[in-house]
Amino acid sequence: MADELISSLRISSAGMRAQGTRLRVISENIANANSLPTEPGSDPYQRKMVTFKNRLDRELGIETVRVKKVMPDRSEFARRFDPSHPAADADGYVSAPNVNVLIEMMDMREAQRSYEANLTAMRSSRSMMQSTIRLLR
Amino acid sequence: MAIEATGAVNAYRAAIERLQQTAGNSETGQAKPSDFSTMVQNFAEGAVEVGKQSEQATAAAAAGKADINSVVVAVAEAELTLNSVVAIRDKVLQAYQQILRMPI
Repeated sequence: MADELISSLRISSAGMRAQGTRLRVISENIANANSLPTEPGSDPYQRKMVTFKNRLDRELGIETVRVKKVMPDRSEFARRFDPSHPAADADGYVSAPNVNVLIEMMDMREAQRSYEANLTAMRSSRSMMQSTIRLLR
Repeated sequence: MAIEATGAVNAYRAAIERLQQTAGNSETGQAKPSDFSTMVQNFAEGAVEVGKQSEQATAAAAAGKADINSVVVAVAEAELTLNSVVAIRDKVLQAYQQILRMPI
């Protein structure tokens, strides 16, 4: 049953799944915001980011979104002055993850809103179908 | 899904013909299925198929192999298909009963 409204249900579902993956990556970033290295010269946690890609579902002829790649953020690590830390270099600095919790919060809010938008689209196509069926009764 | 009122009349007539055939000579074998019964059968088979898919998705999610989104979509799809099948069946039966109540 390749109905247009059923297709839109599937598209919304794919969007929700992609936002779920995005939220997982954001949670990883937040959880690892203080993951420092254990010895001098090694790297701390590197922030990850998701990229999205559209994919054509040839069976149904619809374009769905999916996560293309989770890739590391190549920006510079922060430096924290902490001479007593085991990973401190000769000057007493430790490299810290390039995670900014405020940016992660903003990303999280965006993912949440996008998920809600997909959910609303899904609810609307479902109720459209149901009201069409109710026409028969 | 074009449901015509005359479709029910035709189905009724076909059913009577088939009954007469089976009553008259039973060795003629299977009667050709009428449009009405084929239609109902197609709808029911489609609904069963969609229901099976939703059940598979639910089982996979319970086993931790599928995400909740695909389960929700599969269940919603099954629900909508079943709703439309039931609505069409009710409508067709209603027409059929109206014909049965018709004073001759």
